[in-house]
Amino acid sequence: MRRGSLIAPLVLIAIGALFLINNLNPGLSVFATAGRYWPYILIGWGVLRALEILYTYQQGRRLPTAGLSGGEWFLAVFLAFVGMGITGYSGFRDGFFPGRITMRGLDMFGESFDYPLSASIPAGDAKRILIDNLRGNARIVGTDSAEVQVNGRTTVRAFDESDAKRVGEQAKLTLVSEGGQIVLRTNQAQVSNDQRISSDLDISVPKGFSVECRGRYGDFDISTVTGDVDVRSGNAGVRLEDIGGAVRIDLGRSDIVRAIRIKGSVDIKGRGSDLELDDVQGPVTVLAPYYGELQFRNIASQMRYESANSTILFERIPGYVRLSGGDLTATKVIGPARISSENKDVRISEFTNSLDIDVKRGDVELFPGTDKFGRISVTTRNGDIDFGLPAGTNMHLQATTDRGEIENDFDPELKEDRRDRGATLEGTPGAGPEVKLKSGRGTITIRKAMAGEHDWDTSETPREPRPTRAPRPPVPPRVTNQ
Amino acid sequence: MNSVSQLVAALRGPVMLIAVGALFLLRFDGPGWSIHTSWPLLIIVFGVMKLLESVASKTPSGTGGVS
Amino acid sequence: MNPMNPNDPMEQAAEETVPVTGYCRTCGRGLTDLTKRAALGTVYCEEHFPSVNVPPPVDSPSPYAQASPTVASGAPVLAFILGFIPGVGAIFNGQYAKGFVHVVIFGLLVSILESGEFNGGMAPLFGITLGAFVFYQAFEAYHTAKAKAAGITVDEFSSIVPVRSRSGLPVAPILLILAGVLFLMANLGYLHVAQVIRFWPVLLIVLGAWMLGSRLRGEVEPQSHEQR
Repeated sequence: MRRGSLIAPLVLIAIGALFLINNLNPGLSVFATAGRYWPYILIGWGVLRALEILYTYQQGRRLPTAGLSGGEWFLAVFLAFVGMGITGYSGFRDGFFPGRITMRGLDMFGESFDYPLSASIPAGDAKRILIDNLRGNARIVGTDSAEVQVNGRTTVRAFDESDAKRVGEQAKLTLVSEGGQIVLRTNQAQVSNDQRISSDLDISVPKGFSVECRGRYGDFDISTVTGDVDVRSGNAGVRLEDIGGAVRIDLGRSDIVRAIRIKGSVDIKGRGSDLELDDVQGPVTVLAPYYGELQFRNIASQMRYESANSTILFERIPGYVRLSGGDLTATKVIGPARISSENKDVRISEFTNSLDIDVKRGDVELFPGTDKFGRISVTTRNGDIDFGLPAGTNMHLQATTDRGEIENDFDPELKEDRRDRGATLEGTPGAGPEVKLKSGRGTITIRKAMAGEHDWDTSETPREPRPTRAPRPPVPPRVTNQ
Repeated sequence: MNSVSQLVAALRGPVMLIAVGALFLLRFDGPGWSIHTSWPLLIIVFGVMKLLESVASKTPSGTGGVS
Repeated sequence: MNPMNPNDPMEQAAEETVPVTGYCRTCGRGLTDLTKRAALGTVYCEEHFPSVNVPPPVDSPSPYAQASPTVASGAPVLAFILGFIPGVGAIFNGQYAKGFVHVVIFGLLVSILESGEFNGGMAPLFGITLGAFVFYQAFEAYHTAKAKAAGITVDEFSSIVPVRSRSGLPVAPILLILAGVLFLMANLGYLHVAQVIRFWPVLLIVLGAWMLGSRLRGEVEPQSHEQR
């Protein structure tokens, strides 16, 4: 019977051989080997099964109705996914995803043809520029010159040069002055299948300009302009530096948004992954789920972040606030601050003014560092609360846990009361702000802690912003194989 | 007891598996096609196998099993 | 065509020379034109041929249910709940291939939406399709589990339209090959998806014409309990 067939032992032998080869040739990594050769496992498996079936047929025994059972298909698909994962991991990424533009959707087969782009126009009275580039990266730099200058290149994927030329003719770059603004269009939408074309642009504008960008896929790097910046794209990484005006960003998807030295406000909508804001004078409003790591440093006005299950509000952030995964870490922040979330561990040190924390699930650690804090209210339905403050701090404390204990290392004068499975701790060491700590289930610890003892940032110095990546320089037309 | 069409039906799975592996390989050991481009070939292979199966079931299966 | 004894379908050797034109729904044995028995819109072998007087076996277990190899104590409600997870409902019902197909369809719809390729234009259509597909899976799993619990043998992929006419033209494979060629050409850039999609109503017309044709020829329609 075929159910107990040769496949399983042979797969084991193949995996064993793979590791053996790896051990005998330390230069080869198992991942690189597996990433390269795993499809042979599928082929070998198929060949063996086919031989088994032919043999069964030859012997005249009963054939299975299906050559591969559902379970086997499941295993094969699983293997393919793991294989693709390893392939991606071990640096064969180019093998699978040739280039950024063709990464998603239907891939194109053919050759890519590059055409250089170049245009310029005097700014005149215009104070803003609209950049409409469906696909491709754009870098916009403010300069002292009084004209708008564009360099770059358009890449067309096509089967032959005449086809590419036709597409290139349809999507001509236009740079015009209309209605008091400069409008730059790459006109890729004119091409019937706009996925075949992308344009990388290097644009210099007069310093005082405002910049508005529209796109579907591609990064935007904008620096040293004193006007407003408005970026809207389906999928983009955005890097902004030295912007004089307000910043508005609305993305369908994004790997990173970074804004450094912004004089105006920052408004972010849409969706994204990493977000990094440093040195922002105006208020910051993020009304969007960002799933990666969020960092806010030196925010001189109010910061507000709202996603489906979190609201975070700080009056000012002279230090930093970092959100990553289920953690919120903040140091040197100024309230009134409010944090409400479904699921977050919160650690805040050196804060002033009032603080209001409400989490459904998560631990809370608070170290005010000084006695300059205001009213504090902490509620966690499920999690511990750790509250450390300088000895002799005046306050009116009221701590309650419904199920759990309270540890008091701060002041023996505080009155502890155990009841049922919970406990309360109350007392007023000296007239001061009201501090309410409440846990549904968890331990509450009150203890002495010195200022600066809990600066989590010291372990990790502020990351130097990575240098912005310049688009590749324009090159003369050439034909390259995929 | 086995007809050719049953043989073709039983071979469909293995042939598909070989095709999947081959399409994944094409990318590495040569330029050109990637699985992103060539996946419709899997549908075609599947269709061809089904077609062979139904053709085989209609032709008198005198070449069938030799039990 | 060799004559054979219709009273003895176990005579397997005879089948070697007679083309198999169908398989018994209950036991899966290959059947020829002579040995197959049509009932309830499908075919059975002599042994499992149900009495025509049996009422449609939806609620009451049918007399031949015990002989079915796929009788499972299906829990339709559980199948319904699991059905909301792409593919899991079908896997619960033991239909692995269907579960796989469901996962692939779901993944395709999600990646179409995610890619933003159709932003503005077709996105709502795909969004609604995705929602409908989720519910389809749940109800599909529910009905399959219910049918199984009632002892009805269910095909993994039974079709709404009869894809194999009596003339024997293998429609499904040809359609598959055509679809594959279309997708491949689109991938290779020989034709543009947007231009092809405009012609989608042709599919409806062809389908209608096909159904019309088969009805005019008086072919047996699948019974309602098969239309899943």
